[in-house]
Amino acid sequence: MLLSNNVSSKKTYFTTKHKTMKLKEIAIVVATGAAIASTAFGQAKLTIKGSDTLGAKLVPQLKADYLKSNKGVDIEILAQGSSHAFSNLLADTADIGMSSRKVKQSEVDKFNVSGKKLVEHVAAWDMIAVIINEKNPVKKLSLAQIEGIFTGSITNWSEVGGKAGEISLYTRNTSSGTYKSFAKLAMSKKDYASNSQKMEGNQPICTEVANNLNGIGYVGLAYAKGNDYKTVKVDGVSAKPSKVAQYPLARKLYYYTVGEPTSEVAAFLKYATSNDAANAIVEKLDSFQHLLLTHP
Amino acid sequence: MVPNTDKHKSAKLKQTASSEVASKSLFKRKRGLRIMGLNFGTDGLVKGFFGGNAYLAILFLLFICLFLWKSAIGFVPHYRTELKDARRSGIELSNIIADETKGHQGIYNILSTGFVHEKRHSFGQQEAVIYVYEELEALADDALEDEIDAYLNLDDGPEKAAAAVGLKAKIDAASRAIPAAELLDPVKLRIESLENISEEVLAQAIGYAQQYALDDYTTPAAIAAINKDINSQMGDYGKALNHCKASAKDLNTLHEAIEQNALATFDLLKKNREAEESVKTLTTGLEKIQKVGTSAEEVAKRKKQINTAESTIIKVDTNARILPVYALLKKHDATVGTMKEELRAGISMIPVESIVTQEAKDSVTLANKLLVEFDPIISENREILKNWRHDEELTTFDSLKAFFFGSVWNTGSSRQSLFGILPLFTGSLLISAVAMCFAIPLAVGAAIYVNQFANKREAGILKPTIEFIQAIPSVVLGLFGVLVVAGLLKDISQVAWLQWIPGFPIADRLNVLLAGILLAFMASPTIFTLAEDALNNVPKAHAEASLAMGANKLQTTLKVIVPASLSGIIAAVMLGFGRVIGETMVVLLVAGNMAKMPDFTAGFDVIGQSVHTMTGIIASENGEAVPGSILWEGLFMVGLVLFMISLTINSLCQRIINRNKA
Repeated sequence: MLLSNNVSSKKTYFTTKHKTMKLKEIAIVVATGAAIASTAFGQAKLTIKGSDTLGAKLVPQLKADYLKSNKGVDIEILAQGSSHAFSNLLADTADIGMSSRKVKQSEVDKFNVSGKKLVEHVAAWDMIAVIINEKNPVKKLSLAQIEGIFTGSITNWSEVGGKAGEISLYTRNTSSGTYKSFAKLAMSKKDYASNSQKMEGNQPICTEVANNLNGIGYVGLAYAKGNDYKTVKVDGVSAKPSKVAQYPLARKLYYYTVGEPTSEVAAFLKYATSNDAANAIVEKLDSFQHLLLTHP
Repeated sequence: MVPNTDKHKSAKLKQTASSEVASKSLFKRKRGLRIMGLNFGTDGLVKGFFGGNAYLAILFLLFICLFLWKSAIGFVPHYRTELKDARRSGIELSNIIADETKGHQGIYNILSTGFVHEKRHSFGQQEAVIYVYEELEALADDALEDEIDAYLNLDDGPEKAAAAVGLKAKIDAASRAIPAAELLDPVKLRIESLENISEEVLAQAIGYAQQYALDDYTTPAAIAAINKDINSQMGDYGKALNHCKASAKDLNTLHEAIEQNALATFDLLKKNREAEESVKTLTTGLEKIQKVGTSAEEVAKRKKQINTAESTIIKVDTNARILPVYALLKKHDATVGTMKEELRAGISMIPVESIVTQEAKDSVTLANKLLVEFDPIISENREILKNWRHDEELTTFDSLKAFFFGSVWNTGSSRQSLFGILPLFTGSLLISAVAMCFAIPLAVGAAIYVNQFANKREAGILKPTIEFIQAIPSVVLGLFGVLVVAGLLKDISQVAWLQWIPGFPIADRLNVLLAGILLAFMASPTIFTLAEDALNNVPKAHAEASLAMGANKLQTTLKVIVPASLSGIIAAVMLGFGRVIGETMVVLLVAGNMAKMPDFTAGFDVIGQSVHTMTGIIASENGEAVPGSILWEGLFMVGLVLFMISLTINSLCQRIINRNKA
C-alpha cells in the first residue's frame, strides 16, 4: 500500500517537473520504477507500532501465523510504548497503532488538526497479574489489600497473613501503559508509594520478585508463570484467561488506524481480531495467556 | 639540576620551532588561488577543512546548550502554574494533612505487626486451621477449577445436590492426597513456633475448603468466626489496637472530604488548561491551512471544532469552591488533637506486662518513641495551616525553590505531579561517592604501581588490560550487575561475620552499594590512565635527585613523585567522578529506581537502600513525555543540572591542570 503511494507520488513529480516529457516515456519510467521497487522489496509493507504489551509477543505471533497464508506482505513491528502508536500514525509512519490504553483527548485533537480520523479496534483483553515470591505463604489478596500495599499504607507482610517482613514494591516505570492501568484498576488512581522501585519492564520485575522473599510486583499475564515466583488470587479470582470477566485487574487493548482500514491493513486486522486466529495462537503458546478476543 | 632542565627545555623548544618551520614551508610551497585574502588553493582548503572540523565541535556544543536551555526554560512558569493550581484548589492543604494521617498509619502499622506476631505465637493451632484451609482451598481450586465452575453454573435442584456430594468427595480426596509435609511447609513458614499439626486441624480445614468451593467462592463463616474468636481472646491487646486504629477515623474522614473537594477543583482547572491548549493547537492548525488555501467547507468544519473546544472551557471560581475546604479546616485542630490523644491512650492500653514475645514488646516501645517525635510535627503543621491561604501569591522563585529543594519526585500521577530534584540529586551523589571510595584507591594505586614499580613486561600486561575495561559497553556491565553481582552481593551480605560492613544485610538486591561497585569499575580506567599520565609527567630529575640523596624507591614514590603529580591525580579523580555522575545505563538497571529521599538516619547503612538518579529519571521517563509538556521540560531541567555539574567539574579540572603547568 505504501509502495503504491510512492509510485503515484513519483508520477506527479514527473508530470509537473518535466512537462515536456511524453506520456509514454513517463509510463515507461514509472513501470520500470515499480518493477525495480517490487523486485527490491518483493511485497507490500505493513508497519505496526506502539504498545509493548501487544508488540512483545501477541502481534509477532499473529504476524508469523498470518504470513503463512499471505506470502505477499511484509509486516514490520516496533513496540516502544502506547504513545508511539499515535505519534507514528499522525506522522504516517505506521499503518496500525497498538495501544494498551484508550486514546487521549489531546491526541485526538492533534489528529483533528491534520484532518485525520482515528478508528479504534479492540485487540484483546489484557490481565495484569500480581506476583509474589514462590516461598511467600500468601495465596490471595483482596483488592483493598493490594491498594494498601501499593499506596504504602500496608508495609508488612504479616498484616495480610504472610510471614513478618517489610514489603518490597516493584512497579513498572511511569512511561509504561501498565503503570497507569494498574493505578486505575487497583489503586483507585491514588499515587504509588514513594518506596516503590520502578523497573524497566516486565522481566526485571519477575527477576526481582523471584529473588526477593518479600517482593511484590505486577506483570502482564504473559509473564505470570515463571520460576521462583507465583501469582496471587485477587478478590478470590485467579489470573486465568477463563476468569477474565470476574478478574478485577483486566483491561482492553486496542489497535488504531487512520480512517477505516483498507486493503492489506483491513485484511490483517480482520484476521488479528477474529477469534479463531487468536485462540489458535493462545493454544500454541502456553506462556501467553492474556487475551480473549470477544467481549466476555 | 637546573641547567639540566634548561637544556631539556631548549632542546624541546628547538624541536617545536623546527617543526613549525617545516609545516609553514609545506603550506607555502604552493601559493594557491587567493581571493580577497582567503586562500582557495588545495592547501587553503585542506587547512580550512581541519579548522572547520575543530570549530564544528564548538558549534555543536553551542547548539546543545541552546537546545537544553530552550527545552528546559519553559518549566519554571509551567511548574508555577501547576503549583498555583494545587494551592488554589486546596491540594496543597490536603497534602499537609496527609502527612499526619500517614504518620498515624506508620505508628499503627508497627503496633499491628507486633500484635500479629504475638497472636501467632499464642494461638498457633487455631491460626493453623485458617492457613491449612487456605492452602487446601488454593490447591483444590487449581486441580478442580473446571468442575467447581460447572457445579456453580448448575441450577438449584436434585442434580446440584448430587453434584455437591461428588465434588465434596473429590476435594476430600485431592486434599488428602497432598503430602502433609508439603502442606505444612508454607504454614510453618508463617507460624514459626508451630511444631506439629493434628489430624483434627487437617480434617477441619478440609471441611472449610469444601464449603468454600460449594459456596460460590466466599470465605466460610467458620473461618471468620475463628478469627473473631482469636481476636476476642487476645482481649485487651486487641482492644487497644482497635482503639489505636479508630483514633484516626475522624482525621481520615476530614482529610478525605478536603481531598475530594480539592481534587474536583484541581481536575477542573487541569481540564480547562487542556481545553485552552487544544483551542490554541486548533487555531494554529486553521491558520496554517488558511495560508495554503483551502475550501470554505473545511474552514467551517475547523471553526466548528474550535467552537466546541472553546465551549468546554468553564470559568472556575476557585474562591467560591475553596469555601467548604476552609469550613472543614476549622475542625482540623481539634480533630488532630483528638487523634493524638486517642492514639496515646490506645498505646497505653496495651497490656505490656502480659505480652510474651519480644517482637511485640519492641513494637510498643518503638511506637511510643515515634509518638514523641510526632508531637512537634503536629504543632508545626497546625502553625502552617493557621496561616495557609489559598490565594497566597506564588512567585517564580517559589517554583524554582520547589524544584531545587523539593524532596518528592512524583510524575505520572493522576493527581498533582511533583518535581523535586533533591531525591535524584542525592541519589546520584550518593552512588558517585560510594563509587569513588572504591575507585580512587583501586585506580590510583594501580597507576602508581604500573608507573613506578612494575617491570616492563608487567606494565605491558596491566596497562592495556585496565584500559580495556573502558571498552565494556555499560549495558553489558549493568546486566552483569543485575544477573550476577546483585545476587552475589546479597548472599555475601547475609554472612554473619561481615555484618560490620555498612549496609549489610541488604534487603533489596538493587541498591546504592551495588551501583557504586559497578560504577567504580567503570570509572577506574579513566582515573588510572589520567593518573598514570600525571605520574609520567613528573620530570625524571626529581626521582633521580631523591634517589641520589639516599631515599629508597618507595620513599621516592610516596614523598616525591606522588606529591609532584598530585594536582594531575586530583584532576584524574574529578574526571572519573564526572564520568560516574553522568553514567546512565548502569544506574538505571541496578540502582533500584526508588524516587525517594534516602533515609540518612540509618547512618552508613544508607548505602544498602535503593535510590533513583538524575540520569536514570531522564532515561526512564522520557518515553511517555510529550514534547513541550511539563514532564518533558522538567526532565530537561534535570538534564540542565547534570550539564552544569559536568561543566563545573571539567572547568575545575582544566584550572587545576593549568595551574600546575604554570
